[in-house]
Amino acid sequence: MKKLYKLTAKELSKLLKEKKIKAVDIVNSIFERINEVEDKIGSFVYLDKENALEQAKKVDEKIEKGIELKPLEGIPVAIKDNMVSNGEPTTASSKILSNYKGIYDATVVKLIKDEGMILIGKTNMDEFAMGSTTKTSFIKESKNPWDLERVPGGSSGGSATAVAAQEVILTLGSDTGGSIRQPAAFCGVVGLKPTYGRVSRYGLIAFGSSLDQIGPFGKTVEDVAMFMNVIAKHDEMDTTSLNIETPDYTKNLNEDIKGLKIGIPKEYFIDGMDNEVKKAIENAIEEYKKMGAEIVEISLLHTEYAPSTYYIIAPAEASSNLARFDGIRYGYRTENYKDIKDLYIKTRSEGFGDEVKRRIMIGTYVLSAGYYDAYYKQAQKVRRLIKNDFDKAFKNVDVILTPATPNTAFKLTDKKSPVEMYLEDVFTISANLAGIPGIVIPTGKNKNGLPIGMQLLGKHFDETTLLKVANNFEKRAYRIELPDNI
Amino acid sequence: MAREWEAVIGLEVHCQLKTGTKVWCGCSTDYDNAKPNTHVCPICLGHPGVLPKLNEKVLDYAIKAGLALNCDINKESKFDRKNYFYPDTPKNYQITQFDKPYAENGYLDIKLNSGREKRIGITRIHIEEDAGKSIHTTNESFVNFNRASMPLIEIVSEPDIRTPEEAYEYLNTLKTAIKYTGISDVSMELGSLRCDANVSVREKGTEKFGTRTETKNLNSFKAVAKAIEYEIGRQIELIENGGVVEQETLLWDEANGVTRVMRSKEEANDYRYFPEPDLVKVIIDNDRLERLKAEMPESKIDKVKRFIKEYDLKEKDAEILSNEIELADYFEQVAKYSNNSKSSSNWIITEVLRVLKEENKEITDFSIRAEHLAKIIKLIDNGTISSKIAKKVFEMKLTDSRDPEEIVKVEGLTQVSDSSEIEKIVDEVIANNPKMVEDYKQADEGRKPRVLKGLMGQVMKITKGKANPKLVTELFEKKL
Ligand SMILES: [Zn+2]
Repeated sequence: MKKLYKLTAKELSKLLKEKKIKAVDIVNSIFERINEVEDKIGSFVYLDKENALEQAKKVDEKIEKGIELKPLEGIPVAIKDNMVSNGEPTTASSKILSNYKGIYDATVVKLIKDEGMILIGKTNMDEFAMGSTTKTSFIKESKNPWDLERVPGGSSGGSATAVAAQEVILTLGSDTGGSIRQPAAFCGVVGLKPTYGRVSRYGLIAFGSSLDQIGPFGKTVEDVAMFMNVIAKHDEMDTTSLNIETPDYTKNLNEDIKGLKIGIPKEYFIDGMDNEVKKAIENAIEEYKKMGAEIVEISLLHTEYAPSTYYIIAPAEASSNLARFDGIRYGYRTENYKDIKDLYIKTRSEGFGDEVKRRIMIGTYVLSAGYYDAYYKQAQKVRRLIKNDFDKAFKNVDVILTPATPNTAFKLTDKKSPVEMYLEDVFTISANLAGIPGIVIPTGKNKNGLPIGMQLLGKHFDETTLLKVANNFEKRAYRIELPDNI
Repeated sequence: MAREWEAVIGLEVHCQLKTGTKVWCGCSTDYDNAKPNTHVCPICLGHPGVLPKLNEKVLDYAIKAGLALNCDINKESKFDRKNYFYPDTPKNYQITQFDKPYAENGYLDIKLNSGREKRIGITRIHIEEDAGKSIHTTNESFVNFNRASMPLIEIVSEPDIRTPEEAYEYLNTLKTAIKYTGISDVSMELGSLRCDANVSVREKGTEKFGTRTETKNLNSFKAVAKAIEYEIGRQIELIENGGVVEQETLLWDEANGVTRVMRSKEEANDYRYFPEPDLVKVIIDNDRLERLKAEMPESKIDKVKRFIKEYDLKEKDAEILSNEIELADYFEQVAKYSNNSKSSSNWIITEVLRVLKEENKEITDFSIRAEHLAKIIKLIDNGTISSKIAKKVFEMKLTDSRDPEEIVKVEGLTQVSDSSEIEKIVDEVIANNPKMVEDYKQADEGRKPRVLKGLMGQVMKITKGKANPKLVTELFEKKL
């Protein structure tokens, strides 16, 4: 038998139910692997093996008593450090929350616990989810398991590397402008950003409230679909969470896609795009044709405005969302201050990193009285146009296929300006502005052996079709083998 | 010729809703005597990751306020964030309604002392959350978040108010109208009603508004009137001396009777309002509106009209009785049990209100139950006691919980209507007052009743007021 950490959630669940393995064995295998590679990868900011083993024992007791397990019961999972868990460190990888422990459970954490999944720890991220590399984390830098000199992508970098380095079976990330999909592409794993409102944001430390969405990482499309069955629930605590029925996402995965229409937006094949990435996408299109899908060229006219729109709206919301971190009620507080203003300024100057400060300043600026109309209001209008583009496109196609990133993972030492960095998200941002779901799956590797990701975008609340189209590709055309020797 | 000035006044009234739970979470709003920070949770403390959720009861109550103030209720409205750093604001932004409030275009009719009526426009009402409370000692500061996220509505008047008296009457009328709906205690003393006054002056006859100041920290209706009066005087004097009114936020210094600068326009906050992304739009459908309309209690205006018609009261009396919904209810109960609305009205207006004023009490704390006051009235009406005795019973009732009938019986206050007993006393009085008797006999018809009154007084003195006056009169008339 393969080592347990190498298996998928689906495979492990089957073995558990057949009493061929114990949950404790899975946890031990996971931590063995973590001991082996974590020093090099740096996926985690917090781990709790003891608690994980305790949870695993409970699952094993259930198996012994003959109680039927839930689909993902006993499967180890890790969550991004911006999801609050009761009594555990929750820092958003920021100094300002470095001493903070959650005082309640985020809704996703509750759902994970209800499912009997085993929470092993928290994963590294860019500070407050701002960044594309995990370099803005106050705690550590995560490395790409395919090449330790390269970035894993961000901001959910740790959640992507933890799955790619096979340190855990499933993880959760959050995606504000591509923070699940970009690292999924760089690390060769499956990452899904669900429709805005599909997964409760209650307990997710907000970055851009109108854009943020929690979503799963997994080794396979099926694992991700199984995880979606756990976390995609209406939540009373989040008024933006939509009250509609959740389908069984695993049900239609293997249906064929004959006659299904796949849109290819011409605006997504830009100059400066890596040739190998472009080729991989063209190959994917050919594969889909072979599977009987109909390829339709479409246009998403306002795509070029997506990054600038995003970099107004997201910082605007962030500047307000991050105002609560002031050293008054919790978190880091500066040592010496003379009055309340001084306390605020020093606490926030010392507690936030450069990227976070940069975005707070941009956000404060675009919302200020003299500039609101010129920036924020204008951005909201463009956002509407981008949404309309998708609505129009989805009248003719079932899904839209695009590259996930313009390039494969770049080197940690590559110097990029903030603006160059912001363009890393150029293919993923639109989905957040429009609130539609997007999935990234591996489509191949480049000559350096680095994974290339493809993105599929879907209609609002139609994750089912996305997962089906992705699963068909994974089953019939390509499935990546995750790196073993790190 | 001296220039003539006119003040333009607009009031912003914050009113705390007594919904039982806070606006975005389930924390109790009953924190009056609670220890600091005991009515809090991750949501109202603004902990990382929490989201607000609108308490439906807050929306219901807010709509009722809108209906009571004759507003249009917007089918669709939204929440916004008002950003500013302050230690008692947990999120460092306040969730409020900025450009799309739930209620607009209302009015209130006020009545001035001169008897003149005036309509004051209400620009808007919006829902917002309250902040916590900072407590400062000499070298330390503390924050109590029990009040954080308390539901408030802010009622913004049109600048239709011209005088301190109008402001005072507007607040009175507003308080009564809100109190009628039962959605708030509307008490300045308890902090459930707060008022800021925007004041500017302009030369009479001009259209353009002058520069306005906003005065905060007004803690009574009287303070509102006084502060406005001061501010009008200050602004006129300033302009007449060649000065210019600055747009400022002022604080009312009650002790010294002056306004002081809190912050100038230059220091004013840029609140960076933007739509609250964590809350969906507020949609008020017809069903909800109809249900709330049906739940609305009778307004004061309607009640006054009904009292005049149903109970045959004078307008002034109906007004007094309707000032407080509880007082009106009390009156209706007394009237119902006594079957004598006029007498009920008189007793309440003269006696009950006098006692309440003396004892500084609310009608809800009044010691005499409506049924008991009604019984006193009945005892007069059926001749059991005289109105003089009734007053005595009323006074006793203030501290005595017994039934008035029982008091009258046990204390022997029943009117003596036994003619043989009274006849004996009348004979005695005639025998002992020959001069008066003679006087009566000599008197012409016009003077006779007055002399008789003196004789009656003697009888009442002997019977301690218990003799039936009608019977005594008859006996005297017969015997003399
Ligand atoms: Zn609370």
